[in-house]
Amino acid sequence: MLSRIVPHWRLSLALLLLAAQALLLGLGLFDARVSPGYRALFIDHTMMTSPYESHSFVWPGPAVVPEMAVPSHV
Amino acid sequence: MPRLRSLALVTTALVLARVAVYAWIAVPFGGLTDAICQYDCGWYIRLATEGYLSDSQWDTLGPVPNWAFFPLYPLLVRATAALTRLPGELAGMLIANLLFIGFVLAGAVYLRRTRPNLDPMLWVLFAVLFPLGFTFSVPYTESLFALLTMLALLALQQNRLLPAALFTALLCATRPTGVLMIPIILAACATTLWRARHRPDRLHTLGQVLLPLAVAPLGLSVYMLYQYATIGDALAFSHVQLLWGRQWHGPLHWLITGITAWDWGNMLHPNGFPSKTYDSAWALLGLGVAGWLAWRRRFAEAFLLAGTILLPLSTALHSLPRFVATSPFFLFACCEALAPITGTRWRMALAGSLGLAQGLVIIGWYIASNALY
Repeated sequence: MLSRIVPHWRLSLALLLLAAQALLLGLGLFDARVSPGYRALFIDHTMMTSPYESHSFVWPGPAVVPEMAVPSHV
Repeated sequence: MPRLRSLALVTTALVLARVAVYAWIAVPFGGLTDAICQYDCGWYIRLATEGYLSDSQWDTLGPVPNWAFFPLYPLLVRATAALTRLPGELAGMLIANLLFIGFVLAGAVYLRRTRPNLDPMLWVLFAVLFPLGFTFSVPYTESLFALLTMLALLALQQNRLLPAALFTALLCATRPTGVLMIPIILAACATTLWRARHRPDRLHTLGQVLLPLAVAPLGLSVYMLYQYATIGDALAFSHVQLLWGRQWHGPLHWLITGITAWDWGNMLHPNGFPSKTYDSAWALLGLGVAGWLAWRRRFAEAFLLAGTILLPLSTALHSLPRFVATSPFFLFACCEALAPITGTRWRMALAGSLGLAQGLVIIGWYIASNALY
């Protein structure tokens, strides 16, 4: 039935899914819309060493990293 | 299939018995649900009960760290809790144990196809009793991941590419290492395409092999889309790994770091820093077993075991003992190594030793020993 409406529907669906996922990967790699603090710590690694290694991170409990929680576009 | 039915009965009885033993051992540690829920368990249960954005235990970090934990297992726990009205920890244990029984049975079917001479009862006994196997009963992703791995490989063995890709998509929504199954799907698709190269309807064949390839990463892709829409970072699951000290330096760096640390003494202080040398030893053992599997021409198994080790080893050493010891392929290799032990007395002695060791290990878990992190 589906083959009558869209010839080669499997191929069409596969190409659509692959293109969407490639776009998403591109967004993930190049278009993170996050706060400067989040970017500095998690993406650029310019902010600090790992709180786990430095024992400044308590499990579970408050963390010491400022300006983290609210991304810029939320 | 009467043989599988009797295996199912034995496995269920053994898993129930071991959970009963865990509960008995847990009495002085505050009861089963409190004692068994260590380390990542708390993350999974909070995710299951509160969701990604509502976890408020992390002060200025907000709910950022919990993006490291993939959604499929918490979703299953949430569904189980809703259906049974059990509290999160108990629902997590229930689903983990049911999935574990499924894994042991799927593993038995897989072993019958790949290692027909291996006694399936030895497999069942080993899977239930080996010391680090307690992790399969803990509210962790271990049992779900192992079962989905088996189901994907069983589907591939029958050349059912789309079901294999669907199981892979679920694997990708369970743990980051789920993506390791994608190259296996790719290889199977390429083989199918090559075999069908003389068929007249090439576009039809291309659709048949491209669709599984597009479906396989969907679990991760949907999770990435959710992260991008919610916090603006599609790779948050990877970026926040920094909070666990995970940073990309490559596997060699971390192996050398672990071996040169030579900190076996940390094992004597279970609540101090974990021993990096102990973690490295597990990585080397796992890689050795992967090499042995490759030498036996079990290339897919070798690739999946080596990948399960090398991917996390590229960023840190911790948790490697658990990753190695709960890999189905490591367990199969151990089982093959134990196969020469025959005779009821020897088997009983083996089961007794393994069970005793697991009892001691579960006590280590209940006191949150860092060797088991």
